Amino acid sequence: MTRRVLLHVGAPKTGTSFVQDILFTHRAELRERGILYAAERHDSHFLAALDLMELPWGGLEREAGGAWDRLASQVREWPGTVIISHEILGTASRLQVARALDSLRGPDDDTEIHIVFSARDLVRQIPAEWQENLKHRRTKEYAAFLDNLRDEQRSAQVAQWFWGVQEVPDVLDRWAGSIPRDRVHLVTVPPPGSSPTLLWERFAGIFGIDPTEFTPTSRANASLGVPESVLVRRLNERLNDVLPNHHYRRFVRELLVHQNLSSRPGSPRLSLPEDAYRWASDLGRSWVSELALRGYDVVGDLDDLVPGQPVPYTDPHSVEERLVCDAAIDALAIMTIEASRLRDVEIELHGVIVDLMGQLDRFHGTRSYRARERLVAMSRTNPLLRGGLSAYRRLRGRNSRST
Amino acid sequence: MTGVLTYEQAVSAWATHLRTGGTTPWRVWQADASADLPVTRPLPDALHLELVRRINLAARGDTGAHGDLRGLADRVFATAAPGRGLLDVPLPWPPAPRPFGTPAIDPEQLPAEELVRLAVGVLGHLLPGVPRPAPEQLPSRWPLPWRRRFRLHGAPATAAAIRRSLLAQGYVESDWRPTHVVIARPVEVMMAEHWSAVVRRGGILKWNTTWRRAEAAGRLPSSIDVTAIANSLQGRRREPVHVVVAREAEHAAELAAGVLLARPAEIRGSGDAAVSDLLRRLNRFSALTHGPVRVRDLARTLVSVLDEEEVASADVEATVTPPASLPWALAVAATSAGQLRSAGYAVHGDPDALSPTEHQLPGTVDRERTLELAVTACVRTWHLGGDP
Repeated sequence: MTRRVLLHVGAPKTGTSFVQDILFTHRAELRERGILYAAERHDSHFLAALDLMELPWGGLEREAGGAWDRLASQVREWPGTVIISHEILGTASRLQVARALDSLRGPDDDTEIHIVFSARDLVRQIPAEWQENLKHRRTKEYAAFLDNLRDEQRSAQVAQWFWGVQEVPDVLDRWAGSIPRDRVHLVTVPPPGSSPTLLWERFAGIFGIDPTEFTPTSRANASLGVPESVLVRRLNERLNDVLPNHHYRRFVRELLVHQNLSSRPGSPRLSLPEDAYRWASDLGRSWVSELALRGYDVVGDLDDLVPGQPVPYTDPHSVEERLVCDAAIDALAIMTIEASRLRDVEIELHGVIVDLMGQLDRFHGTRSYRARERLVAMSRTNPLLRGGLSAYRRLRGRNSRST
Repeated sequence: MTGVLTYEQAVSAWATHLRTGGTTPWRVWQADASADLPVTRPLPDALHLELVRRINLAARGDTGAHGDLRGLADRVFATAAPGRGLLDVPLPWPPAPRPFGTPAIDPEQLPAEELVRLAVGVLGHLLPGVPRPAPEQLPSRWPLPWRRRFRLHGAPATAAAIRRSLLAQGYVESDWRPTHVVIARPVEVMMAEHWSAVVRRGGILKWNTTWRRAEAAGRLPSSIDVTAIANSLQGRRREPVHVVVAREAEHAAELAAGVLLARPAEIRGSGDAAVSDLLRRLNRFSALTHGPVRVRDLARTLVSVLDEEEVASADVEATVTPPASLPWALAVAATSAGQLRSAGYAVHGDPDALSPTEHQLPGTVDRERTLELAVTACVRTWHLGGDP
């Protein structure tokens, strides 16, 4: 039986978290059907990607040592189909790709490696990436971000990262240069207004999964509106040097952004200014022409990657302060509620501690305990008692210092 | 270089030239187009090739580096540049550039930041193969009543140099009724020494971030917060407390020696900020590749490989306060100076010497200097038996 490894290498903001959530949630059932999604924790493949690419990530990389080799070892041992999925893999260099592919091949070299890349039109990707940057504590203004992306030399790190994960023809050059074209699957993200299950159906088709059998348990990350984005950027400026990463992830990214701000209704959505729209649109079309020549297995339609009509642009730099203020008040309310919830937990834990201390005090107040305590104190100056105590402890079979 | 060669052949020929110790830059490189040139797989990119060229150049100029460098080039070619940066940088070549991918860059024009990134990756592979340096053995004596006892605090590197000298003179550093001497120097010097001490213990923060964190906390890091240190010591078991304030390390050593009736220590500078910059990059990388427990070990190995006195350069400019933090640094220095004047303990030197240098400089570490050190470290590490 031929082993199949499906390596989903991006791009970010193309429903990857949504797909990974389904795969992780149903990994036991998939395993019964001969499909391995080897992940002990939700971010297992993320850690493996950090390890493969030796990528620092706000301290998380300290948990990643050896993660790729462990994953590859599980892959090599599995006789059926394996799925690996993480969107940051798209930015691997050719050397890293070569290492990854070598490590996944089985001893008999009978492994069929497939590269899966999901892509969305550039006009939607650019604002989404800026917002993703904000969720990772960046403070760059949107206009500067756009300038960086349009700099042909890609001098700024933000541009190097963006094109590293989003430039479809180049990512596929790096990952699929040695892979037969029919094993390179380009999944296109449907345009707005399409069926909400269509993207999952496209992925499921490649993975060999019945899309109706495994359904999503959570929704994909919604995007922020313009005032909310401005708020998060300003919040980052305030918090960056005072709030540790693990607290930022819990309170700002998860609680504030994912669970609350991204679902605020009525906010203007972030898009591209007119000149940036034209530039991104032209670039996107040139990619589509290039990809059409390559003979990849397109799952969906390459036209999905051609940007739609421009939508009204709200400049984050000059968005109405009233809207930012509204978002900020909502954020303050959310944080106040969370602070009071945590205060209740603290009070409850304090009660538990007081209760335990009372039990300890009552125990320490017994006559037998006080007598033993006196004996231990005397043994510090009395060699005979010290020897006796030592013998008692040996007989008792443990070396506790408590009487 | 132009001609009938393909890009792959030309790059492979240059790679071969560099593998054998060549230093000719790409823009003037001429391969023999008539020869049957094999193609190297995988094809190295501009970053890898230029780093090898810089290594070859450094090996020629480094008097501490002797012997064969063959093999180091292959080690570089096999190392993926860790972290974020330019991907697979092509070399300039006459046919029209690809419409996508990283733009071609003349290797000599590559940003130092990128070359440092790759060099750190190479060092991460080489350093575990270098024998661990022996820990520094300082003279240790019992704190007997007739021996002069001291305890040094404050600017870590200056204090360490003075400590070494005092211990060599028979003094004892002890907690048993010592004379406390708090070494205070200009705020930016103390911050640089603090930063250096932290990265030697595995720290990963940048110079600017170290400042921003201190500013956000509203106080200097505790090891160099000289007024807080002196206040906490004052009145402690009637142990005398002296604060020594000096702009120059030599002056601080003289003042400390005066307090303790010792001979002044010989101090050469306050260290090279580029060493700290290289260390913090290595720490970040080795935490991932070798695990957090080995970080400090590898940092110590790199410090011993570089041997700061040997690589010291007269051209190295002192690291200054980042401009954004300068107003805060000035305010902290002024407040601390005022507290020193009014606190009542013995202060030697001028408290105004705490004030940082006011400047118009970028206030960042010189990346070219970090690159120079990284390349030197690659050469030396290779000769010391790196690449296990």
